[in-house]
Amino acid sequence: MTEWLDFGKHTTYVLSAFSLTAVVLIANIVAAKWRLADRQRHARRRLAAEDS
Amino acid sequence: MWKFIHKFGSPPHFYRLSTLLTPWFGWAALVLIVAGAYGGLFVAPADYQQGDGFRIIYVHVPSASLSLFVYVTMALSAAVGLIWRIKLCHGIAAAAAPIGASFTFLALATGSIWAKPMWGTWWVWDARLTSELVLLFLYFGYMALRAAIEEENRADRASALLAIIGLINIPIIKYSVEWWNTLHQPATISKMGKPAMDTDMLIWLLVMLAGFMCLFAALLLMRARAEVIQRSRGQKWLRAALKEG
Amino acid sequence: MDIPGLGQSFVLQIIRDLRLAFRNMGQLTNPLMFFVMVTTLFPLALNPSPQLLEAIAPGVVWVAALLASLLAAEGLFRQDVDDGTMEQLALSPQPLALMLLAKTTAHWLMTGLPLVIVSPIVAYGLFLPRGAVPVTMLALALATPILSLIGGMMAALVVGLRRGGGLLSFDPADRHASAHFRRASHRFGHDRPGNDRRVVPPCCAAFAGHQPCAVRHGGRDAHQSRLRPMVSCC
Repeated sequence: MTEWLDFGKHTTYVLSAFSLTAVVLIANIVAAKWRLADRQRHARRRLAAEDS
Repeated sequence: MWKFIHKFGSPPHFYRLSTLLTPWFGWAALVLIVAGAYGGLFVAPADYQQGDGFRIIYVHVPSASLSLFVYVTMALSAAVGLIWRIKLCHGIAAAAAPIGASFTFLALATGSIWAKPMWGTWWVWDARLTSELVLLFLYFGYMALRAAIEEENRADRASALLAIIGLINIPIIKYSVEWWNTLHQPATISKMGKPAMDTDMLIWLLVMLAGFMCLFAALLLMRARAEVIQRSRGQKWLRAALKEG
Repeated sequence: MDIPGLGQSFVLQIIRDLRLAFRNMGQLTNPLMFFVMVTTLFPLALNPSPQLLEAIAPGVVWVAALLASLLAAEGLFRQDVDDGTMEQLALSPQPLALMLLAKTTAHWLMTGLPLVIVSPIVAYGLFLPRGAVPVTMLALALATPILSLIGGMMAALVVGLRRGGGLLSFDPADRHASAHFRRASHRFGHDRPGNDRRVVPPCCAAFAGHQPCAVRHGGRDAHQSRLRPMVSCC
């Protein structure tokens, strides 16, 4: 398993760059989804309050 | 054609359109990025000069390209919103800003990680790196200015002006490697002439670039939808749109 | 009804201020961004050669931290004075000085502490010698609370004024603090490990001497400034 991820003397650099990228991109997706869901929740709650 | 633009500029149509398009861009992004990463890490041959360290290019160049592309999108969107008074465009610009800031941060961070084995230092004050850092500050400035002004219209206009003024930075970043004597290597892909890279290395770079673009589209549509909901408080179409989901 | 004790009300006040501040995340990061931007301006404006930057690095970090703290200090009491909370604090059974010390502590946690944490990154960019980085962090960790207190004192004096922000820079105490810092950083910049320990205690004493004075003044003036705006140089 570890030989598969071996990139010579630059292994740590390559792997840390790729993992940092993965973390930041996934964080972006999670944040965007959460923000949209949050706004939708608030709007629905407000509309429900207006109705009642 | 004008009818299409007019339709696009109306929040309910935009909301519905973006709900439809987001999953397509999302899945395309996932497939392209995973394929590009796999190809870049395992399939592409090692560079004869830099060895395996050069593989960082597969995350660094797409991040950097996107950081510029998103800024231009943001500034143009803000300009259109300012000139033609289309509120939705301001919403799109506001949605693009945090995404662009993330890409800029990634470009700087992966560039720094690449610089350490290549140049022996994490940072150097050369033209391209410094102007990319300025770009990051521009993104933060845009977001801070927007957050500081309470009233929506004034916030839109002020931050739009800031974004437009910052556009000058884009050509500086792009041509910094040509105009000044810098440490950073010149462009890998150029419009004219042969690219500086072999095809079997280049293909994965293009795949990653396409993947990042699709991801930007998906993120932008999601965030823009959130902005539209925020800005369309008390409007009738919102009720039906929210029921659909 | 149970009146909270001194320790408890101190902690509660800090928690309240932190919670209020986190609602406005954008404003929170302004001093930090200012700090980073000012420090990056120096290599751009001057020659980015390592020799020059190494020589000016401690001074640049200090000036940027000072300016960022001044920027942050302006908002310390303004919101509470504007919405009437300050009057309530003055009328409450807890001593006003303690409540204001709590507010200043919360302010430091949000504005000063991030500067300390970010300073190694900024120091790397400015070619500050590796050995001097921990000491720079320690010096900033000591100096930023003092700056928060002094800044708070000045902010209390100008909070009642409509356009008092610029007056914050006229503080002689900042000059004293700068001179102490310069002496300390000069020693640490050059590798002389023996001298390190000896310089720190006098700096601490000089900084600490300003504290009670700052809190007392801040407390009285924040309350009175609503009724009687004062303009004075302490």
